[in-house]
Amino acid sequence: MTEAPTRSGILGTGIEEGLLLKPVTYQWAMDLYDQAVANTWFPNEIQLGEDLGDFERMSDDERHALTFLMSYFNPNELLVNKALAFGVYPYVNAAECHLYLAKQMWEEANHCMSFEYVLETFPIDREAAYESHVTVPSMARKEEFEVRFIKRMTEQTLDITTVEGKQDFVRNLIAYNVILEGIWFYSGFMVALSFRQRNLLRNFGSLVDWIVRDESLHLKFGINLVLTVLDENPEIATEEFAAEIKQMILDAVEMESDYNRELLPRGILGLNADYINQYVRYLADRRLDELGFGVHYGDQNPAKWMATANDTLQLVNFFEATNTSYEVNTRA
Amino acid sequence: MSCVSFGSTGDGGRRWLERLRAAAADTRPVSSFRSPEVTDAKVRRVRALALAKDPKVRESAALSYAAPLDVLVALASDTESGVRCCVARNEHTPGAVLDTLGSDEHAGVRGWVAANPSVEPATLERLVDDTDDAVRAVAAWAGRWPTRESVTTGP
Repeated sequence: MTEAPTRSGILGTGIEEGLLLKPVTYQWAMDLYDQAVANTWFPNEIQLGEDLGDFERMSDDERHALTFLMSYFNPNELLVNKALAFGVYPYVNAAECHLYLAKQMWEEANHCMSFEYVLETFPIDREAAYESHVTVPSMARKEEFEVRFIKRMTEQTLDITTVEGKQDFVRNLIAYNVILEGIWFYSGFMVALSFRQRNLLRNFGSLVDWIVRDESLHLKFGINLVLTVLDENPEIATEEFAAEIKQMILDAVEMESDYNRELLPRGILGLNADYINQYVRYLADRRLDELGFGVHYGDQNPAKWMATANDTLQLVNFFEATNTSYEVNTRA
Repeated sequence: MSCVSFGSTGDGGRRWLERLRAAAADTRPVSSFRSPEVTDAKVRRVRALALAKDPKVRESAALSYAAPLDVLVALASDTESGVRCCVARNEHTPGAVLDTLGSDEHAGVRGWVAANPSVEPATLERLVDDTDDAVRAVAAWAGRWPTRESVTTGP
């Protein structure tokens, strides 16, 4: 009788190994795949055209904020796919992880097309929206930060069997998953959903709800992957490396703060840059805690209406009503 | 090296490329943004998801715009409040089902009923006086959408 092949761990070259689904080693990846497939949606299921009247009533500052968000989200959904294609998929051995990553990559494409659908529906200056990620310094800086880690993953000198190679893998994961998807995207989602909170762009809000639902799974997959790599490769988790990872997240908070000041130079809809940046620090604390660092900033969530429970966007404290019984499991 | 030279006779390859370039210069939307039609198979899939052991998967079924009425009715009585919340959030859930969920024991479910654009005015009006602060706040917010103005301000 032939023995079932055994796997050496979640990291590897992923070419000759990881071709058979069973035995499933990482059931969490299979569970996330099932959930992601069940969540499948398409942008045109949302009747965005019904929001056109709201768009026409919006102030210049509000339109600037919406355009700014599209400028950021549109290219960055595709940037996540590059991080996955160059930096994660090639170095993962498990077939169940590859299944999930393939679904996630389709979801990123679907999100990109969702934002394209927004650009087609609303009279947004597409040229201005497209060029901002290069011309707006705070946006360009965030992109450069991400690209640096992705580029490293494509260099021939990277050897995933070494401590240094594994650390590079984790750095890229932290950059695209924890920082880009888990902090920067959520900061943008909060601003995007604030329109609905103020009785504007209800259907756009529904579109963002679907995206948030996908992103919450992406985040869960990424955190599970980081923790699994650390668990299987304890030699990489040196004090210096831990300090470096934590500093990456703190630097990301600073970058996001600069970005939000350019996003909302004057404040709209009851929001200003300080409010959003408090939310960013709250998010960063949640991510740091999930990675085992504990909280750093100690900020409260200023946007309790963005709270989530059980990883689905919930209506708890949606309008800043205080009800402490809802604050259990509040993790935006 | 251009792939046009690969076994092509030259003119055919060039014409092909010209068509590709013309398509790229087209200013029409990049996509028709169509999604797959809701076929019987799609509905069967949603029915299967609604029976899943994992409540997160049942939540997905409850949120699906393709969920048929009997599935929504069944999920509206799910033991998990998260699943009932998703039925209450689904904009395709009929007003009568939303009205029933408007009396759910879980405040979160009632809150999502109030937030649902398809809620009947009478249901929303009832939720304006809900016992829960958050539900009342959501109902007040829902009443501020232009089409619902009359609900909270009254005649």
